[in-house]
Amino acid sequence: MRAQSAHTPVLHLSGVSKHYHSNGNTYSALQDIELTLFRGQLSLLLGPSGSGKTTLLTIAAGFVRPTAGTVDLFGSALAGYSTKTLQLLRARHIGFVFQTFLLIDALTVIDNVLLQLRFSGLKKPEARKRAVDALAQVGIADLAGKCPLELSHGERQRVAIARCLCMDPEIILFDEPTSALDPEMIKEVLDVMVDLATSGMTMVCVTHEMGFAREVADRVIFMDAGEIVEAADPETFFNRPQTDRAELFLSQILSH
Amino acid sequence: MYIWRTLLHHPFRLLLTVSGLALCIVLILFILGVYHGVATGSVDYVRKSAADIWILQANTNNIMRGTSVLPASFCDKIRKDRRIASVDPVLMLFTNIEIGNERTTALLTGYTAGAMGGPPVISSGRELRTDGEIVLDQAFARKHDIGVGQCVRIRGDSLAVVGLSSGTNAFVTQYAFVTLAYQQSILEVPNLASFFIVRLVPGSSVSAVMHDINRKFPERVSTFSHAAFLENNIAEVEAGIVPLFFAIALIGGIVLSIILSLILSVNILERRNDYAVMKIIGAPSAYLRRSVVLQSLLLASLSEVVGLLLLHPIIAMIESVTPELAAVVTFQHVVLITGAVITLSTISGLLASTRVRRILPVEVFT
Repeated sequence: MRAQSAHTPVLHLSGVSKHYHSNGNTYSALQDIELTLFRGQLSLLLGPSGSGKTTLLTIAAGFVRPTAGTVDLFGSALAGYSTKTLQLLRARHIGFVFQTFLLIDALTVIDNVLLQLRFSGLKKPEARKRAVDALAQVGIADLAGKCPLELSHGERQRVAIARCLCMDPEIILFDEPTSALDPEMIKEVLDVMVDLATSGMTMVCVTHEMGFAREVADRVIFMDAGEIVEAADPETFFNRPQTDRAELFLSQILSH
Repeated sequence: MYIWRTLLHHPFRLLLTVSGLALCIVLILFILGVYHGVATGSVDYVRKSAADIWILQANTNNIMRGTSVLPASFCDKIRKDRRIASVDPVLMLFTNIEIGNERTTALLTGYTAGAMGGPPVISSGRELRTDGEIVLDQAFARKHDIGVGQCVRIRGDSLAVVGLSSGTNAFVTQYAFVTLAYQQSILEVPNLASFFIVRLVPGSSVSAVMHDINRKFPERVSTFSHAAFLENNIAEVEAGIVPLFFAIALIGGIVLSIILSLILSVNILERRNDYAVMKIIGAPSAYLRRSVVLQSLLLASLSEVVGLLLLHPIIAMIESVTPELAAVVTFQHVVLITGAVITLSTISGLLASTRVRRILPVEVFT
């Protein structure tokens, strides 16, 4: 997969909708989504709470089946993957970073990273080397033997990123990676993400970090009420939003 | 590593769990030990006898729960057969024994001093020689705090304790031995026996002699080879106590499984996010299932080690209070309980792991 050229679609969603039924009512989390993400791109998902950003991530990774539409990941329809293939796909090719880090407290930093490599089927010596390299890449090699609870939030998020990087993923999905961080910690995590973006990692990130979005993103996707309202390069989106909803959202966000 | 650290995360909970499981294991082992002790002790009187043939009243096939009454004079008629080396009558009846101000019951066994039918093993003191002497079961003596050299009373007669026997503890009662003449005198029926113990001249056929005895006393007696009589008595003991012990051991096993399943479920619920994250980063279902089963096996193994360490002090403590509860725990019991613990903990782990299957990866998305 790595040998494929840039501008190769990594993720393609076509006509994707997701409806939930509750107490006789139908709630649409996503409606008729058309989206293609290319290799090496950093795509940012922006939008108010409940706009469907996280649902889109869970569908993209195959955790949730869409009510309608198709999802192609790495050139194949997700619907055709078996449970085992999907599990291997996540272990080897898809990285996840969450708002609350979601490290396993009972394990040390290096064991957290090694766990992912273990699931990907890597042999122990090679896995250990990769884990150490990944921790070094995010600047926390010296914390390998510590437990997550001994670390700052920023350090924990870097461990979570190292956990993704260790298996050299095709794509990393970030779900509000800086939302739970103190302001001084945000920079250290964003710096790591900038480095990744510069190195050509394909990333999809749900975030409210407008400065980061403006400076680093290749593409900004604005969602509202389960729809993609606008998708544009950062310069266009931030300076010349095409829709009233995007303009209103930006005015609310940027006024703070 | 994850499993071990997860368990150690709550040391007090681990301590409580292991203690509970260990006590279940002690209970089951103790019950097995008591069963073995009772099953062995009850029939040792028969097992250790050198008898070739046992003769009882017709329609009685054991002395555990059967009543047999025969005229003692049959003895002389049986003895006429040249193939028979000896015939010894034994009279066995439940009798009250007074120890100080205490009155208790024992299976008083009257036999001819120096002949067959006496205690299988003398653990201290000596065998009977004359009337006015008694040999008590050692557990009975310990329970009533009496020893060799002291006296007990039966129907106003004082009898000197001359010896203590082992292999004569039948759990619900214990044997005591007096001379046949004394036993007959307190019943005031001189010509009475419960059964006869026959020894044959070497080379004689057991079945042929049994056949002739049955023919000589049609519908009056039942004759058994030693092996058949032992088997009858074992079957009688097992029929009486196996269901009870099996029920207690089963309850112990069920409690063990419930404690284990409960603690595994609590651990899974508490570590819900961990399992969701593991699913997200590609943990195979088999790995998640294995981690729960291993946790279960680790808890059970630790509990078994603690249980085995506690077993002997607990048994010693129980036996000091109730000496007649002789628990004999063997290596086979430990192997058996290890197999049961492995099976139960694997099943508990597999059942608890179904909770992991129900955890959805999307739960951890914001």
